[in-house]
Amino acid sequence: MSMFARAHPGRTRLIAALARYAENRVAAVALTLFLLLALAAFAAPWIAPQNPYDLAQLDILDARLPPGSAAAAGELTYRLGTDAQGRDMLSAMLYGLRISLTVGFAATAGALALGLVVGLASALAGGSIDAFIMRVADLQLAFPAILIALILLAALGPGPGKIVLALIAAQWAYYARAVRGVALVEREKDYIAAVRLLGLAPPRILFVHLLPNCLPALIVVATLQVGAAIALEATLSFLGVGLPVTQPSLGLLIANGFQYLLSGKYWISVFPGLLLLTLILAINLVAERLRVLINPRLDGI
Amino acid sequence: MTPLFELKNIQMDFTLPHRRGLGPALSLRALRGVDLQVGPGEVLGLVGESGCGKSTLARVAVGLLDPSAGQRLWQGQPFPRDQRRGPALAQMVFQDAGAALNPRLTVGDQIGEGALARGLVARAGRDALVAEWMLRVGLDPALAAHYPHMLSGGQRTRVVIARALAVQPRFLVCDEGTAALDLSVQAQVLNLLADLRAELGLSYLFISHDLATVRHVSGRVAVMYLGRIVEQAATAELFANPRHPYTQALLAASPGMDGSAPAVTLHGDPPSPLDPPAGCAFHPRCAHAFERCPRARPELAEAAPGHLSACHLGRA
Repeated sequence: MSMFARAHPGRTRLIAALARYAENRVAAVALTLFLLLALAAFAAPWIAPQNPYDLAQLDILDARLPPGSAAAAGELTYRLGTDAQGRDMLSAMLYGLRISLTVGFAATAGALALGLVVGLASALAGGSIDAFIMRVADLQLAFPAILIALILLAALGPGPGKIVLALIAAQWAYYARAVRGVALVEREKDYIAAVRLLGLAPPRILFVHLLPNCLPALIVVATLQVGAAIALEATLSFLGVGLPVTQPSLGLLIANGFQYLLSGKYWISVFPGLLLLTLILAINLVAERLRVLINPRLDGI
Repeated sequence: MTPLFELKNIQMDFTLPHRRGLGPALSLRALRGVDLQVGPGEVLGLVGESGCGKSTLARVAVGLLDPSAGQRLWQGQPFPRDQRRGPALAQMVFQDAGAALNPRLTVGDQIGEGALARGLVARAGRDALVAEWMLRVGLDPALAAHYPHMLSGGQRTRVVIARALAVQPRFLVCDEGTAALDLSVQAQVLNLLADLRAELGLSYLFISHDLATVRHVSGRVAVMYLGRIVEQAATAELFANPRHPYTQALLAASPGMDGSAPAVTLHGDPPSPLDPPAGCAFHPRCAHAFERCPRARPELAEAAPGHLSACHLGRA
């Protein structure tokens, strides 16, 4: 069925690809869930009951209210309770999701771009340049990602831009290695020999022929790494070196509620924690499905 | 008369890392001094077992590999390097047409891009050129918008041929280009190659392990064994009077058209090119080997007018 559908270009092709993706129900649910979360994060300023960044909207009298409580002043109901600053947890989580997703995707895009350039250069240069770049990547991978990010953030200070930089520094080597591996395989294939023989210019061979055939494998690595980047950001924020307190990401929200966990005020940590868990699980399930689709021999493993 | 294309004493060595990771690198001598000439409009067949260096020779011939030693000549002159404009000199029809096409570009784009890059056609005329070549190789021009995986094996081979011819080469190397096709499609492609040769005055180096195919298309045949040419003659002469014991064994090993079983078969595998036998490389498998064979390598020399053979038998 998919063979037939693939024979049509353009939109039908996309629909066929989606249909093929959705043959795995769990993956279909995961993708839907991820899209819903992304939509909620995008629409946070319009759907959140409160702007958690606007200190004028917060009321310290409403601090640490359990889920379902009414605000002391006004008609707002805190469906998921409030945190120590009297922030509506639902609003804070929507905004936190927004930050987590933005940071995760920005860091992944940055690391992918850097890794792509470094990996391709390494594969095409070969010899001692290749060996040097790959030893640097090995060295980088020998350190835990969290350690590298911690050191960098300690030096740079907190802020969304800086945490993206730290995540890129911690993750570029994964992409560089993956790109180099794929490029080395693709480069030896006959279609590259054929276009060299046709006399095409090297940039055209690189960008029209080599790169597009390296991308599918990278998309899988990138999807997995988005989840890892978000988790890493949450960890860093939890440790207090990530984002500023005034712009809480999911990790920071969890950290904020941590001290109240044992005093029965579970909602401050648990709800953002569940949201983070759902987000990363959804992303990883989507990545796993893409991995199987791109390399069908893995199906069932 | 100067041949169109000539290889002189071509050697091709590959260095392999040592088997146990450390230690001296191994040198694999894939081609050990190959001389070939292809005249204008001529089809030179090249036969030999797997691993004898046929594909390496094909890649050296078109310039995808730089030989370790030896010369590539074009009309008696050193082969021009890096020419990216104007008609191409040599092109290749790859062994596996599926692998030789970019899976992410339509076949029309792939047929047209060489001619476009070389300035043989303007962007506006590209589609017409693609359609013309597709018709010429017997493909429906409507297939131009298809991706390679949507085509059959025979269609892909035609796309590869069209792509090579669209840059107007005068010399075409077919590296087992038809080996993967089923017999009826194979016959169609062979006839197509013959027609194109007549129309365009192309010269071919036709590489195959299939003796019947080579006999059908070639004017002259060279037989290769372990990186060397061991016999070369006009097709009819070679098939009627094979001089080299290896050629004799190859001919005897191919099943007859009448369904008769092959009479004599070659015993054992070809020796490793990493550790070739001393003297004549064929002597461990040769039925006629005598004391001179392991000691001295027979040079390729004329055994009869126009018939070269590298064997000690019948020599003083």
